[in-house]
Amino acid sequence: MKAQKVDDVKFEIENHHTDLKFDILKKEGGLFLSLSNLFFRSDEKWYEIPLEKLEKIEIIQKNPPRLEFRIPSMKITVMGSYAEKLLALRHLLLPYINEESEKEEPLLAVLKLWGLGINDIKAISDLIGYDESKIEELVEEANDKDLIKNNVITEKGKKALEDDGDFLKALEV
Amino acid sequence: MNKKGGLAKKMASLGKLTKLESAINAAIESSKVPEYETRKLLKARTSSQAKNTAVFQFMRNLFSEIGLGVLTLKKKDNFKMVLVIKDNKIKNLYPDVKDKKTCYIISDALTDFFTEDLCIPADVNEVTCTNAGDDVCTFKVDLQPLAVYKIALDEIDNKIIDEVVKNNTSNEISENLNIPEEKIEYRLDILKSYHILNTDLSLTKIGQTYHKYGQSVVSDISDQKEPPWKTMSEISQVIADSDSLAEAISSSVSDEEEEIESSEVVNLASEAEKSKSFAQLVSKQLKKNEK
Repeated sequence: MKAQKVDDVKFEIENHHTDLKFDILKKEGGLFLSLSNLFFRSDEKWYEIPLEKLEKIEIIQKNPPRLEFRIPSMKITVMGSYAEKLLALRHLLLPYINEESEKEEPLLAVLKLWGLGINDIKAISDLIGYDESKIEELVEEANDKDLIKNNVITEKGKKALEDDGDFLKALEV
Repeated sequence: MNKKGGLAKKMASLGKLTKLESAINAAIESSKVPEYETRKLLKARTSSQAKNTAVFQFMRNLFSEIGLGVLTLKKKDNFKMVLVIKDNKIKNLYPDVKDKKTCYIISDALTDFFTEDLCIPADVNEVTCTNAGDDVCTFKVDLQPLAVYKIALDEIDNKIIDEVVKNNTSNEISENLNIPEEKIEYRLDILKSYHILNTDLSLTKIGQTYHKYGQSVVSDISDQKEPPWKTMSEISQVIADSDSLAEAISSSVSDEEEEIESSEVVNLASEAEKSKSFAQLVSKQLKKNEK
């Protein structure tokens, strides 16, 4: 099997399960690409990820660049020298996988507006651009996930909005 | 995927994408747009008004300069835009991908432009793609409403809202703020379209919340800077220079192919599957012990 080097990288291989977490392997070596696989080489050992098994490829940190590959029950985090190369690799591989990761954004947008005191379904629908039935579903989901309780955003809900915490703080919500 | 020279083509595509990433990074870093210009785009009531704003024309030039194609605006709402890219060559980088969308790099570049240069966090998705058999590549941009309010509404809008709360008519607002009534009417229409005011000039639920909290986060535009299109030639140079950087990055590793012996390979997907079974076994055992 032929493969070509993409970059020198550090990588971590980690099993992940809902109730068990073990086997973190930290290595340094090369990242290689073949027609249908990604390979990591460290010393004389090659670690293979079949592209067809990829579920998700995410940039988890821009500076220094860290890219996370997910396959069932395992994640591989890669740190490279050049952000551009890892970004390019991600964009090269995305069309090969069916990345239909569920987007959390609409739920967070509803949550944020809720935190601001806007809990009128029609008003939220106007702001977010989803129809009212979708907003009702999202509100139900937020309640089911304990992000909203008794019409008030919960601590868990606030935690979910950590990235936007500054905005909420500015409003003293 | 298994065509002769397939790996070489894939590596060539990776090289071209690396150049584009480099150009995008350079362009985004050099293209911060002052809020007073972004506000003109946000306040445009129609697509043709929006297309004529300096910021949209700059964005079109920038994307063309990077090499991502020619951007046109198909639709503009308060919190949404629909953009079409013509002359898009990205799909050519995926000769072996059929009937699927391919232009993730454009979606991400648009996200970065809106989020970093216009300061409006955005979620961009490609909704049609020529590679998937559609006529054009279309991108839907969902803008974060709170960020839009923060930039779209200025101090005068806030003063108008304060006047509305006092139940003043447009004529009274005009007199109190010393602004011609037709300008007040225009701004009132925009506040209605942003669901701040009802048609009878009362505050909506959103308007009440904005009046209570939102005015405190209105942007401070005292540190206005020059719009980036004043220095477009410098940006073009930065983009051109990024090409050399990308060349250097690409040549930082050997382009020789390596032959991999299957006996030296650990298939991580199979290992994960095995350890998953192991994990399930342990989990079952633990639960059994608990009982």
